[in-house]
Amino acid sequence: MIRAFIIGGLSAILTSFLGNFLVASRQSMISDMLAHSSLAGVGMGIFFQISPYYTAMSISILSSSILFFLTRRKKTPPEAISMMLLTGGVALALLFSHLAKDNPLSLETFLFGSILTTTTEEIYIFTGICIAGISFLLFFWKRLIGIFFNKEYTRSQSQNAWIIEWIFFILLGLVVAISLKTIGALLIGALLVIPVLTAQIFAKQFLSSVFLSIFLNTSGVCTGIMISFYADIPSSSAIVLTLIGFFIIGNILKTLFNNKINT
Amino acid sequence: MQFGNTTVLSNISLSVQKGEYIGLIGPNGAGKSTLLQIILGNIPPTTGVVIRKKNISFGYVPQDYFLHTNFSISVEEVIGMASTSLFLWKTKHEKKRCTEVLQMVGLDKEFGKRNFQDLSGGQKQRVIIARSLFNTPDVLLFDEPLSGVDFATKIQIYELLADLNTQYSTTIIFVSHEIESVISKCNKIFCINKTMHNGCHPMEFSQNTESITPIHHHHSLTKKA
Repeated sequence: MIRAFIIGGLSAILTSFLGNFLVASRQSMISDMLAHSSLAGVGMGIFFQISPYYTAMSISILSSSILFFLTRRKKTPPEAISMMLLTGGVALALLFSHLAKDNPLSLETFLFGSILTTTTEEIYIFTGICIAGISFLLFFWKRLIGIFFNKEYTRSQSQNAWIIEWIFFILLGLVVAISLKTIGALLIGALLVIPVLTAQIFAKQFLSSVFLSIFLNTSGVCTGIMISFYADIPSSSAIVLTLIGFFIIGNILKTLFNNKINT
Repeated sequence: MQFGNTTVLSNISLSVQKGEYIGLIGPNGAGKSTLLQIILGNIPPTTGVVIRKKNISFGYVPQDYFLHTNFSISVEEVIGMASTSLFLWKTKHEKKRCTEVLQMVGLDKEFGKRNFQDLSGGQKQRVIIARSLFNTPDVLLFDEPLSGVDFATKIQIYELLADLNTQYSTTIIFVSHEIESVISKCNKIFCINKTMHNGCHPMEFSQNTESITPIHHHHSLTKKA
């Protein structure tokens, strides 16, 4: 249970940082694309009997890089490329899991995740990625805001801005792949997007939106884990439904508050 | 300047002196934005040379200054995009400079904390100009910046640019497809449509020959036959 809290909290913090940039630039579908295409990596890992973690990470990084470089040329629409990579990933995952029928590891674990079965090794890997990722984001903060809000301008200011953007997508790929077993492929998008949407109801600045979504995300994840533990329901659905609950409460509060001001 | 087999610009030769207000006009697709990118150094010319003064700095106001999203971001954060410093936090100097540039474009210090997305079109435009002033540039480049702005706001922005040009002797290169946007304020106007059209209009007037300082920026491009 403590392990679940640690890994849940860490992923909540990191996904809040990444999610704000993604939602701001209308690219939140990318998280879903990465989650599905890294399932292909999981399938490969199961088939070749190597740790699905490593194969998922490599496939996830590969597909985020493919997406990044294909969409740098303006003519290709990013959501169409995302769709291609997503379906391609699912197709490969299905193929490999079909070929590796008698393996005890199942794809289902990675589709829905199970945060309560986290191992100590996973915590170490995740902590490492979190520290590296957050330091990267804080270090290039102003550049990243420029890249995700006003790309044309930032490219005119610094020639190497694309490298920072690429590293961001590699980091996103890593985070999605590593969260597969804990949060699950279908639900990792929730951590990236829903708290950001809730934070946007109140935030007037980008930074305050980031802090607010970190708070909402961590409290949502912790509440979700507790509910799932005591009510014996799947952890990821408890987490996602809690986050959606926050979003609804946020909207109700905002409406009540606005009405008060108006009357 | 060629992209593949298409020649976008040829026989361009212009020189800009410090403190000048240059207008570049031409129809859509004339290669004006390409020329700006060449001046900025973002794309190298296929043939020809661009000579810039050493350590010259540019402020750039892009064509689509509205951000492609309505995600909350404060005015300070928008201006902070111009900052060259790393890390999340702002230095004292950056905070001071932010207030300064806001005042230069006629906005209050309080604007810094406001959500950029809640501002009017004219205010947004001012903030974007403030951002381009952040690093005290020698040259300001405007790439058709007023396409989505109403007439009254346009007039205000022209006044503002003329003020910046006279008060701080900032060199300005203003690109537009509308002649009226450049005609009243500019020292020099150049017509461009794939190449230079020198005689298309009474294009060069009110030249202050006394105030001309040594050439610090020379730009020429020639097309290979």
